[in-house]
Amino acid sequence: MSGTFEYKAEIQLNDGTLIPLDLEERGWADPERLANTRVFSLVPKEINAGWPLVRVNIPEGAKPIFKARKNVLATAGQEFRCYAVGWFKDGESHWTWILPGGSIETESDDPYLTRKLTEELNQRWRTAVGAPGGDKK
Amino acid sequence: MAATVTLRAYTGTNAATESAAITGIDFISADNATNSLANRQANPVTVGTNSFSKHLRLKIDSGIINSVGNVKFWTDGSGQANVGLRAKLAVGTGGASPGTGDSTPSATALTGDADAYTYTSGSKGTWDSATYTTNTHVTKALVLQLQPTVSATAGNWTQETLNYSYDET
Repeated sequence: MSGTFEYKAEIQLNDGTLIPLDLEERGWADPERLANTRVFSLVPKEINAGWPLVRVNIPEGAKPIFKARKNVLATAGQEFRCYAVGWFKDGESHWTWILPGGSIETESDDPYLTRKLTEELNQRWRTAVGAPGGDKK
Repeated sequence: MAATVTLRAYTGTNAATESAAITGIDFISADNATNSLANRQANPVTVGTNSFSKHLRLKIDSGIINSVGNVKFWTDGSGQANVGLRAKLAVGTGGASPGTGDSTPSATALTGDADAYTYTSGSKGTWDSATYTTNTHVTKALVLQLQPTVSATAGNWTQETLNYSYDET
C-alpha cells in the first residue's frame, strides 16, 4: 500500500466480510463488490496525521462512491487534497467531505469554501475563549 | 499512485505547441511559455493594449486511477487598479495532447470572456466539466489575458495567485 493519498479504504460486505482497498490502485471500484457493500470506511494511512477515520453506512440499493479533490494555489506553490466518501442512489450523490485538519462536512460540494468557513469559525472560537491563535480584543 | 497532473502553456498556431510543466505564467507582448523577469522586461505590455492571450491546459502526466475531471478555476477576487484580467473557460476540446479547438494566441481582445476576478473560491469557474480516463490526455483550455487601460500605473503588475482544483476517482 503506497501512494500519495492520505487514506486507504475498507469495505464491509453484506455478509460481514471486511476487504481492504487501495484507493490508488486502478480497478479498486469493482462494481459487483461495491453493489454488495454496506459500510465504506476511509482509514488514514498515518494514525497521527490529523486525518480522522470515517465510516459511512451505505443504504440498501446504493453504491459507495469516493473521490479526492486536489486544490492548487498555483503561484503560491501550495497544494492540498480533500477527500469525499459517500453513496449514490436514484441519480443523487450524498457526500461526506474530509478536509485537512480533520474537519468533516456533509452534503457540500465546495470543501474549499467550507475549509475557509471552518478556519473562520475556529478563529472566532479561539478568540472567544482566549485560546492561543485567537485575535486580541 | 495518485495522478500526476501538471499545468501546461500552449503557444503557436491554434495554441498547439505544448510547454513543459509550468508553475507560473507571464502576461507579456509575445507568445511564449517562459516565466521569468527577463522575459517580462523584454516583452512589456503597453498601457491601453492587451497582453498576448495565455492558453493553459492541465495534462494528466501519469498515475490515473479511474478518472480525473471536474476542473475548477478561481482567483482571490481582486486585482490591480485599471488592469483587467480576463478569462475564457472551457475552450476547445480536451483529450489527446495538445487538445483541439483553441485559437492562436494574440493581443486581440478575447471574446466570449469574463472578468477573471468574478471567479472566486465561493464561485469557482468551470474550467472543464469533462472526465478523463487516459494518461497523457489534456483538459480543455483556460485562456487568460491582461488588459491594462491607459490609466494603469507603469511598472510591474502585482503578482496574482491563480488557483485550480480537480477531482480524482
